[in-house]
Amino acid sequence: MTLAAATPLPSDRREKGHLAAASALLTPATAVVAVMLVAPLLLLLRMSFNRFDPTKLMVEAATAENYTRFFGDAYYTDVMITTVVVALSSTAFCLLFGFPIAYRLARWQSRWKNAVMLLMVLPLFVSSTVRSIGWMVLFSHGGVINLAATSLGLGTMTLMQTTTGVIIGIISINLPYMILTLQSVVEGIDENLEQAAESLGAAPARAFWRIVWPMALPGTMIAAVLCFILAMNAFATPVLIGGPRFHMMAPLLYWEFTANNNWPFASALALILMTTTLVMTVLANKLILGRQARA
Amino acid sequence: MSTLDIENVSKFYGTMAAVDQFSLNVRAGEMVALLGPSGCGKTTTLRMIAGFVAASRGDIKVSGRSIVDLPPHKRNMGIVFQNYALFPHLTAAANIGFGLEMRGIGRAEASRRVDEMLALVKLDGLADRLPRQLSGGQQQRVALARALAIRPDIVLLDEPLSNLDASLRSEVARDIRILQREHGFTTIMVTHDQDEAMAMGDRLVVMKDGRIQQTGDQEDLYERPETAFVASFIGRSNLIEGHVDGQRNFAFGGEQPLLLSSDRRSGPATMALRPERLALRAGREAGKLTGTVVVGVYLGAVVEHAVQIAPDKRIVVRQASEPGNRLCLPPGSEVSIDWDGSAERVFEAS
Repeated sequence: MTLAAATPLPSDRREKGHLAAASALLTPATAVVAVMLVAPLLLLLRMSFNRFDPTKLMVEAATAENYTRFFGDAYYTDVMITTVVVALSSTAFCLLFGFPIAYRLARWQSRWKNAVMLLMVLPLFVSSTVRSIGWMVLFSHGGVINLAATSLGLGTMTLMQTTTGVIIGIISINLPYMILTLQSVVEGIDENLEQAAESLGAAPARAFWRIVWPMALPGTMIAAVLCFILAMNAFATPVLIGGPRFHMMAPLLYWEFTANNNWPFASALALILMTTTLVMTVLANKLILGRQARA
Repeated sequence: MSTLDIENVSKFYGTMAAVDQFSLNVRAGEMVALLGPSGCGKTTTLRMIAGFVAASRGDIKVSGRSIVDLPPHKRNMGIVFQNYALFPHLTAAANIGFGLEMRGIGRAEASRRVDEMLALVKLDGLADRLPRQLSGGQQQRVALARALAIRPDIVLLDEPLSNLDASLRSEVARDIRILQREHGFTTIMVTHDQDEAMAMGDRLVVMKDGRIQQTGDQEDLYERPETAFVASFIGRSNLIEGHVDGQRNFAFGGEQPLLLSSDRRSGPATMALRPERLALRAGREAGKLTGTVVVGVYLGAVVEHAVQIAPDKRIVVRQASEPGNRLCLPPGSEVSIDWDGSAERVFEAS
């Protein structure tokens, strides 16, 4: 920069100088990503092809047995299916509950808006473990929900150690992310557009589906992907609410890694979980946004 | 086309009246401009006509039928928004056809009418462009075509020229005016720009603080302003505040009071004088006012002098320039100012 300023350079050479400066500035970040993210991932990939030995633990090898074990055993594939079902349904419910709230918030003009936004963020200050324990108090046998249900003569309501309970727990954790993301998405859509649609004869619901929804779709996908990834990797909620007989991928991975010391299989599980999440995200994007682009 | 009757419409936010007792009758095919500074209530009035803001009191009728209880999508108003509000994910043709689609008009008929509209606003060939691929002027024409495609009862234009380059404005104003005249759509337009209002409206409504100051055509407002605000807002006026005594004397702080050309009620008053209706002469002889030149500026077609007429009052005099005639007087020159009685407007302080 100082050189360029001192000696007048032709504009294209000066541009090259700027580019060089830009790449120089990017180098530390690139290095950090390479060292902290890419290298461990490559290491993980390498480990997933090693063999596990109960006495010697990890043995250097080049075998696919960890992968064949996962895909060959219904126990493991069922864990993956449970994980995907829980992640998909919790994301769907987050979207269902979150969009109306986010829309209202975005279009709300009130001095209370900031206070309500703060309320929305507040749960994020409490760790998911603490919040799951809160749900346990509500769900457990002598818990609030069961007491209420039995005293109203509805029988017992079992939510503890059920898929429904886990989904409710995950929704409560992911909903703020969904609402905050969607709220900024809706705020980016000019309110005049809805009014223009209404003035042209579209009832409010129709104006929403024809104008707001297609414009909000890309941002909504981002919010949904965020929730989906969080749910796919949920740990505390399935462990605490789901109990010992409920299995999702993240706790399973942790179990293999720590209790069984089976690093090769845990590495394979990690890569399978990551790939599944990634593939589903990319597919959803292609399917939904691609269809919109053609429409 | 339809008539629009606005009867005593008010809008309150809490106890604050954003629009207070607004009444206006618009003839079929007429174009009325609502004009006023920001916060005067003109936009709120437009939004009440469109149905986006509910009127607190009063009635709005289109061709005699009350519409105040109808939601916006049943009012059949063609609105051009200030920022155009084109649907960014739809092509120009789909934008224009949106209202037809909402009305369930068949594909063939709709596409015929879209083409007709594209031709009307001279955008043929740009049907498949997205709004972001169009220039500001083209976007504005799409917005206009979209509003007209539904064959609205009333066309509402919200600051139609404010987002255009200065060089385009007079051209677009003329185009809209010609279109409006040819097709005779009843139009309400809102603007804060008096030139825009003067150029486009058949009649103008000047508003301030939620109230109508004056309704009339260009000449009414310019030549016969009813309030000091209108006198200063439409064109330029020198406003001189002072006091009328029992006679025709107007004391304003100058050496001697001014002699008014007609009788006025005693009390505080404001006099408005158009700069171009004043005659300036060197010397202190004949004239209603005397003063000292502060500065004279030669502007080509006109010469403007700022003249000190009282210790705390300056007025501007504008005269047509004449070739070869040294009209620009040096600062400090003693001058007298005269005017025809008809140029003098006196507003009693309310």
